[in-house]
Parts: sequence; structure tokens; C-alpha cells
Amino acid sequence: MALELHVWGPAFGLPSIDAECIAAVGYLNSTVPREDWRLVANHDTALRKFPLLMDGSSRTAGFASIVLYLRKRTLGSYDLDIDLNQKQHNNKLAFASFLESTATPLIDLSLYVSAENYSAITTSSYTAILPWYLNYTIPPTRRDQARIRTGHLGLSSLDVQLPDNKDDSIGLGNDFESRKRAAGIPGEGRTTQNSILNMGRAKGIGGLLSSPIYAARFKLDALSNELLEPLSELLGNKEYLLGNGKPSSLDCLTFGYLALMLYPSVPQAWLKEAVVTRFPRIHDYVTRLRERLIGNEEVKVSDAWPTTNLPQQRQQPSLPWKIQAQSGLVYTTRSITREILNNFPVLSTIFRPGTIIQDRSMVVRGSSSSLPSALMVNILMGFSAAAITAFFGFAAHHKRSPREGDWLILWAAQRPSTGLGEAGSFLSVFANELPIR
Amino acid sequence: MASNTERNRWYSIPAPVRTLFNKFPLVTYPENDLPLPRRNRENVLYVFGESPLSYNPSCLKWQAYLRFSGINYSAIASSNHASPSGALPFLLPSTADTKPSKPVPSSRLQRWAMNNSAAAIEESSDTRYEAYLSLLEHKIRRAWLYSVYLSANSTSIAEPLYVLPTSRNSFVRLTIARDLRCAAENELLKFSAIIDADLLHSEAEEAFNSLESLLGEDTWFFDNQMPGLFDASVFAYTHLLLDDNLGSGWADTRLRDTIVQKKRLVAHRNRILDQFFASA
Repeated sequence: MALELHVWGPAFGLPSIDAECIAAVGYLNSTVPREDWRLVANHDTALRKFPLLMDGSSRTAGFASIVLYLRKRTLGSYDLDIDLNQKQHNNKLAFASFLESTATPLIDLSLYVSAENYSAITTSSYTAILPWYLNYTIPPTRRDQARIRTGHLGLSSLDVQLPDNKDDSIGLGNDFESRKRAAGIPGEGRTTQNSILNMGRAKGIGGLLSSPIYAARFKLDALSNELLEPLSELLGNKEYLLGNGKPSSLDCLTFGYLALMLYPSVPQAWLKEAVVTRFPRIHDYVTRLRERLIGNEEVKVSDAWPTTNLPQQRQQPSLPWKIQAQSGLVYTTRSITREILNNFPVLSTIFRPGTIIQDRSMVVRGSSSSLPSALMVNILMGFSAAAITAFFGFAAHHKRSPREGDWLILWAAQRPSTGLGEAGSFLSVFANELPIR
Repeated sequence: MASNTERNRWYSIPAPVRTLFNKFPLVTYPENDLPLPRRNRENVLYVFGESPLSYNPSCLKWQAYLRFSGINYSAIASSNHASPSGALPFLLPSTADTKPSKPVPSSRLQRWAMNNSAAAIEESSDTRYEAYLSLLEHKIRRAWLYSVYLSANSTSIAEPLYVLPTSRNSFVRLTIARDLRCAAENELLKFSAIIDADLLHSEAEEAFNSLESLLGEDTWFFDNQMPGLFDASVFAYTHLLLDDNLGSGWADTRLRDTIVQKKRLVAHRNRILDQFFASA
């Protein structure tokens, strides 16, 4: 049976919108013969995690696990890392984790946190690959996750939607500028505002540099250097990162992350600029990898979901996309119901599947907790709930049919301090004030 | 006058409630003394845990690093709420006068130690430094979080160390235990949609393998003359994992088993323990 690789759909001319998915596509495309695998653009949230490799009944999720699975399954023939020595293998592991920890926040900032990029590029890319109902849940969820991941960096200023500068005709000077523009006279407004001559004219150079966009820029440059410098040093003058003259799984992963930095045409292209201007060697390397791993041809959304029913008009796509039938009404309804249940405030805690997969075969030494057990807490809660319900029930009953001389209050009033102590004196306060008839 | 009674009708407190509240306060405690301006004669490092070696990896890392730098300090048990940055450890430097010194959060501890140490430690400029550090801070830390807070160890390690000392009230303890679990879970979910215990453990094992072969036959990582921050970071995890008596012992020993077989890392840990914590 052919291998099936399920990924998030294509975007930005790349096979997927997700870095690990791109890496997995690149890996399979360069190891497995074309007729032995199929690429499926998927968005089923019940599958939990992409990239997902389906081989018959066995499922493997995540790039590293897929690489490991392919190595075990085929005893080396689908393995890019077979020639690596121990040191290279260690470097591969270390840099893979380094990429995950430093490149993820950069992509988060560039594609999700930055309000301008998110609204201009990311959302529309998701619209193309997700059915309408998932557009309300998946992109905002991923954006929230990106915000959480990058929260400690203090770059939330990127998140602010900057007011459109064309409309800020408040104040005399701007009014003058806009009238000049309206009259067709080239003003010194928008067109020249960023020129070197006008730099810091209003606030001085210090004021200019401390304005949020520049302050953020310094931080962003530092962050991208943190990733790109070690990577560039590892690359050196070699063709591929680990220097065997052929790509390894690390190259695939690097391509996954760097492609998402370079190829989306975002309005705030600081990340792309950082790579292109300061690390041209890395830029060349990514271009080379693209050709080697997925081919230079732009991947179109229509490759995965053909819009036309005339196959002869379609070019053969460079990747072995498996054409999927339009999802039926039953499937759509079920997915919508699941999305609603999973995102509804209280219901989600009941219906959302657990996120922890415990060890399957584990012998655990027994250890007893000194905290009250869940059973105890539930019993206590049950009793409290019963007591409260009983009290209110009694109160309601009493209100409907009041009896003369309620026994509780009488009892408290008659024996103010003998049996009840402090509470008795409290109750006596009430008793004194109540008209006892 | 009419309006006054009108208002009184709106705002009047029921007589029984007024009599009840007139009984307060029930007890008046004596006033606390003002804190006396105290002179810090030595550097004080605020960490988790009473014993000389903290049971929290990030605290232990800085304890080790300060020892490596030859800076004397006394460790005081504290909690996250005491820290200006919200996380332990932090350090109150010693001062000569009575003016209180500014606390140093853990993010600036390295620079502070370099400026205040007689023998400042040079960090390795190896290109692989950052990458291997990410193995520790990413892969091993995540496995640690799972192992200590979410696996069976949560009752045998996290509970006696982090939950029980905070309060004697069972309900407060329950809430804190739940918060702790949720915090660990959210931290793990940051980078993955699901928490797969097998995957976390196998990644940690691979990471330890890499570190083992990175150390090789050298005394310290990256072939340095003196141990540095990287050694401290490794030691923070290896020492705690090899500690039999952490909390009330390891219930889920998977993560611990992976490190026990790594002879060089075990030797590295023992070396640090002998050379720098012999008095402890």
C-alpha cells in the first residue's frame, strides 16, 4: 500500500503552510519514488497533528517521527541520514532542536503576531486551504498559540494594527499635504517620508529610533541573528549543512522553516530582508534546497483541490497530490458540530479530547498522594451541593407555606449561648430581631 | 427630612446584619514592627528548597554557576511570589551600606557574576554551543516537565516539593497541585498539539546521547579549562535525575533510567559535586 502523507494545505507557492509539513514533503519527495507515495492536503482536526504519515493502519505524526518510521520500515532505503557519522548525527539532533526553538518564534512573529502580515497574507492563505467553517477556528487558534509562544519576547507592539497613514489628515500640516496631493502636486508626504533626509526630522534621531517600529526592529534583527548566525557558521562553504554532498533530514527541516521566512510575500518583510541582505549564503542555500527537495515550480492550491473537472487541462503537478473528492454533507455537518463543541466555553472541557498520551507499557512504583483524592473531593462536593439544594428547597417551601414559630429560630433564640458558643450568639442576634409570634 | 428617610429606606442596613457586624472585629492582632533596614553582608540567592542544593533545575543551574565563578552566597528558600521577575532564582547582592541592593533576576545573573567574580568564566565560542544548549532547554526540559509534573512522579516528587510546603489546607493544596499540572501541560502544548510521553522520553534520551558524546573524554564541555554555564545547565538536570531521594523518590523512572547508563555524564555530575559542593 502506498504511503500517504497528510499535511496542511499549500500556501505561498510552497507545498504547505506549516514548516514541519514542508520538511516532511521535502523529505519524502527526495527519498521515496513518486509512485510509492501520495500527498494529501488535509484539515481534519480530529487527526490532531500534521504532518501525518499513514501507512496502511499505522499512523506517525511529526517530522522527526516520520523520518524515524521510514528508516525502520524500509531498513535504510528511504533514509537520508544513513551516511552520517556519530558527530554529524549529534549535530543533526542539536540543530533540529535549535531550529524548533528559535525559528518557530520568528515565523510566529512574522506570519501570525504581526497584525499587518497576518491580515494581509496569512488569513487569505488559510481561506484558500480550509473549508469556510474552519476559518473561524484554526487561524485564530494558531495566532493565539503564536502569541503565547512569543509572549516572553516583549514584541507585542507588532500586534498593533497601525492606522492607515493615508487617512490621517488631522492637523494643519497633514491637511496641507493632502490638499497638495489632491491637486496633483507631488508633496513631501508619503513618498519621501522614509528617505534618509527626513530621518528623525520630527523627533530627532533618538526619538525616531525609540519609536515602536524601530525598537521592535532592533529586537527582531537580534532574534533573527540568533538563528541565522549559528546556521550560517554550520553551513560554512558546504553545499549542505552536514557536508556529505547530499541533503540530510536536517536540511529538509531547515528548508521547512527558512522557506516560510523567505517565500511568503508579506508587507512587513523584515525576516526576508534579514536573510537576503545579511546572510546571502543562506539565501542561496535555501534556493538550492528548494530545487533539490520540491522543485522550483510554484505549488498551487488547485494542485491539491482541482477547481476544474477537466483533467486534460491540468498540468501534471510536481508533487504526487492525491485528488480528493469534495467532502459530503454528512462529513461537513459532523465537522462543524465538532468544531462548535470543541470551541464552546464550557462544553469544550467535556468534549475536547485529552491532550496527553500516557506511556503505554509502564511499570510504576506505587506512590500515595497525601492530598485528598478525587473521590473524596467529589463526595464532599456532592454533599455540599445536596445540602445547599436542601436548604433552598426548605426556604422555598417555607416561603410558600410559612408555619408559626419556626423550630430552628425558636431553638436558637431559646438557647442563645449554651450549645452553640460563638455561633449561638450570632444566631441570637437574628432571633432577637425576628418577630416571633 | 422626607428625602432623608427616603434615602435611608434605600440604603438602610437590616437591623440584624448591623448588630452582627457591630460585633466585629472579633480579634485585634498586635501591630507588626516595621522591617529594620538590614545590611546584606553576603550575597543572598533566593531559590526553591531548604537544602544546600535546590530541587529546581533552573535554581540549581545558577547555584552551580555561582560556585564555578567563585562567588560566595547563601541560599534561602523562597517562592516565585517573592521574586521581582516572577520566577526564581534571584539574587540580592551584598552591600556595604544600609541602602538596599537591587535584586538581580536570573536573566541577568550571568553578566552580574562576570562583573563581580575574581575569575570570570569565559563561555565557549563554539558554533555548536547554542544548538546543544537548545537540546537542554528544549528537549530535556520538556521531558523533565512531563516526568515531574504529569507522570506518576507528580505525587512522589512535585507534590512533596512544590505543593505540600505551600499550605496546610487541603483545598489550597489541591488548587495548587491542579495549577501546577495545568502550567506544565500548557508549557508542553506550546510546541505540540499533543503531549506524547513516549516521544518526549525518546527525544530526551537522544538528547542525552548527544550530550554524552559531545562531552567525550573531556573534563568539561567544549573542552574548557573550567566549567561554565553549559556545565551548570547539564548538571542541574543530571544531578536531580540521579538523586535517589528527590521528593519521596522516583515513581516513574523512565527519564532517570536514560541518564543512569550515561557513564560520562554521571562522572561529570560527580566531578562537579566533589569539586564545588563538597562542603554541602
